[in-house]
Amino acid sequence: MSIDMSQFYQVFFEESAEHLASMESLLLALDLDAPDPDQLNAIFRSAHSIKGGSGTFGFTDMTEVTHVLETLLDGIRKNEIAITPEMVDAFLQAGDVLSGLLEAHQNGTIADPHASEEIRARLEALTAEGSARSTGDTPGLPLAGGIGETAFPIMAQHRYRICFPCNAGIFPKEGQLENLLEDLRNIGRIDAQNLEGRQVELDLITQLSADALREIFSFFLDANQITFTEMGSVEEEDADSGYGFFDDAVADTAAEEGYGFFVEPEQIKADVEQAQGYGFFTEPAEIKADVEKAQGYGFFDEPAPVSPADETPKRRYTDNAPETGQRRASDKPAAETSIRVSVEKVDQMINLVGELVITQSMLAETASHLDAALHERLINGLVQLERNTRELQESVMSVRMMPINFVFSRFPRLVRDLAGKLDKKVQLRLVGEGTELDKGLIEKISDPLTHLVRNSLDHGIEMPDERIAKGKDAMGTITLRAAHQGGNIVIEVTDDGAGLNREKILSKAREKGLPVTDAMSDAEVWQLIFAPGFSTAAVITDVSGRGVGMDVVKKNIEGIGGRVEIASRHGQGSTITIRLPLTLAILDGLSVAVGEEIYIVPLSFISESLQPAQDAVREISGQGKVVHVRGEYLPVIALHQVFNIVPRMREPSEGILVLLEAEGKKIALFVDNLVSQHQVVIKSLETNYRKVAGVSGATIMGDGRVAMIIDVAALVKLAQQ
Amino acid sequence: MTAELQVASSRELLTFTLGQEEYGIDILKVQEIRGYDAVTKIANAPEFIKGVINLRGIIVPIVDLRIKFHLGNVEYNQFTVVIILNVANRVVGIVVDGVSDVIALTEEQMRAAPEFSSSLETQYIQGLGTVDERMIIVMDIEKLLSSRDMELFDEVAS
Repeated sequence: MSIDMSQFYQVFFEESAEHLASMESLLLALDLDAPDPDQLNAIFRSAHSIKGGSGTFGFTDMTEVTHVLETLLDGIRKNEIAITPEMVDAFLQAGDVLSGLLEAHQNGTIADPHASEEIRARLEALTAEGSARSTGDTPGLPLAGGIGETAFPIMAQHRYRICFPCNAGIFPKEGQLENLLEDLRNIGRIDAQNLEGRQVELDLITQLSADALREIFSFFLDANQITFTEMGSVEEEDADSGYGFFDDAVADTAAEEGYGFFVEPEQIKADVEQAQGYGFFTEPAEIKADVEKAQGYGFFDEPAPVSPADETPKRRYTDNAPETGQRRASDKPAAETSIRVSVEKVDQMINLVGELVITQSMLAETASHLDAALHERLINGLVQLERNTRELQESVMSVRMMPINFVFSRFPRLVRDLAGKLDKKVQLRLVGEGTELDKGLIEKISDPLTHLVRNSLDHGIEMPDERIAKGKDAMGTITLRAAHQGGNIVIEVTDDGAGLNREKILSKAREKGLPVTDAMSDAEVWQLIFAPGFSTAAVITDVSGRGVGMDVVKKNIEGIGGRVEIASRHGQGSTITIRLPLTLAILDGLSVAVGEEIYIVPLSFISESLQPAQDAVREISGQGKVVHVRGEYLPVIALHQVFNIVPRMREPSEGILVLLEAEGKKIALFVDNLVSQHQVVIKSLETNYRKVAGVSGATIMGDGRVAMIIDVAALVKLAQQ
Repeated sequence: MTAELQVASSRELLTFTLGQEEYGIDILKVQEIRGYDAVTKIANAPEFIKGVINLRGIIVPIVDLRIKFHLGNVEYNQFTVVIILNVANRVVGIVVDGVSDVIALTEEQMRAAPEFSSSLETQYIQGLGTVDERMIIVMDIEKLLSSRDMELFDEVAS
């Protein structure tokens, strides 16, 4: 029965991370005054799945934390405990602790044990407090006789040595032994076990009587196959710890009692319960009652009395195996319809489709020289091929696309925590969370976006009294909006705060020795905050200014082919707009010709192209040329000089100037002429060659030739030298 | 037994000519042989790096060994041959005067390279082979192409 569990670790890590994320978002969405039972159930199920998984894989630290978490959640969802804001805080904290533990397991490191102990204590305290409160005003709990018993903190514990055979005849279905063991863990502690071979031997420490244990085993084994040996009573080890009632082993039992003795495939149970209320099943119910009597522990019990008349068929143990199979499916209905595929596989597909597109356009190019009348069928076939290729490319690209919600979903929590820390009142609005963009971009956009949201909250939104004084709603609003616009994705961070202060920025810029004038347009002034070291120095707080300045934000976004724009009105707030290409693998480019060569200029950097008048271009001795465009003098960079090639045009007035903007600087790039605009598939030059200065990559054109993609940022730097 | 050993110790070489000399390279490094196509120039690259080509979607740099070794008249016509190599996990094409043969060379036919003035530095020569009165310079093509003065790779691999 021993299976190598480690092969499933990755699945567990991924699933748990998802559960944690969904738990967090559900918690944040929860209306404390009137919690939605569905949401509570969903939160509970998330915690529960993590517990189940971590138990299976032996990550006991996670199991312990989720266990107490689940106990409290269970009380809440059954209306035994009223939810309070402190609880939500504790849940969120527990979520953090769990992700810490998860990460630690994933990386094979050790997580801080204090954090989990602390949160466990906190949750246990809340559970105690909550249930104590509720018991008072919820009379008529079933098995009230049990309550008196709970006053005795120390329960008599028995140690049993249990031996039973283990073979395919007894446990025909995979996982049955696990189920049994899980059941045992729920009623006590398995101290030593030997699962090797055909004979299972384990030591169980529990409060249950031997009879009750036999009942459990009777679902699996014939009574004569098992031997129980009582090894004597065990003293509760830390009975004097203050609240012995919540001691590990005892609390375990106590808590599990809350939702039934037959906890094991707990997921199933959760589902079953959902489907049918909290009704119990005839057979387990009897035992349950038995057990309760045996240990007098009605405290955490079901609100609904056990009804043996419940019509639910006893499906728990009778058809256990099929349910185990369904467990995941019913837990997460979407699981059936999606598969996990490694990103490399998808990338490989994208590459291959890229090749196909190139081949297809080469064929189309060749066919265009043929007589359409003579080769009608060939040309029709090629048209068909083109359509199919394009559709294939689109659908393969869409595989990499993910909704931006993957980034947005972290912000409710961030805003909540930050607002609390700063004593501000802020609500976050998310618009267009379903907007899809490339997975690679999702990963790269999340840090800059986090910084922008922090900034808005810290510097944008004012304190509540200040806002009221200004006649605004005390509650500030930060809006995150994502939308597709043309071939781009546009993400906006809008706040209704104070807005940028032009005077302050200008004086700060002067202080820094930046070239500024009062005549600068607002847009230019706002761009100043992207200057290196600008924002952070003025505003170091606990929240923002942790060394990630706006310059880094801008650089990161430009690094993925995007642009940042700021709009701000004093007293009314600011909007920071990020424009990104839809994907990293394809770039919108303008092809330009210089001499015999064709180069691709990324469209996102181009502000305009023009043919300058002869007198607009001036020579500055020893400094090169500048061009006068609408009141600005921009340095002219001749591409043929940068790349040492022979151009057709020597004078800018004969060719074309492409105005480029990168890192807040503008240059005019002098080329012979413009060819056309197209989407190109980016290929690395470094795969088989090396980095080339001024070139960010290469691509394959429709005719099969290679064209270099110009590294605009590098050219701009070149202009500054 | 002896025959087997001989087979095991012999190696197959692709031979090609550069100027007056005949060179051999390990055939396992050769991916394919193709004609010379138009290349895309790489800005500010040394003269012997002709540029890059599109080899079925892969961008492959092309090195003209004739220029690198200063071997007379360099022409590009329909007889110009490019050997596409797989070296140091990269794909690189080399332009040579002509591909002649695939030969098997045993250890006995190999001689250590003397200190002499070939166009090629001795450190890139594994030895000299003799086949039917022809002398073949056995070249360590991987070492040559990943060497610093080829300027092909960012870091010297190997």
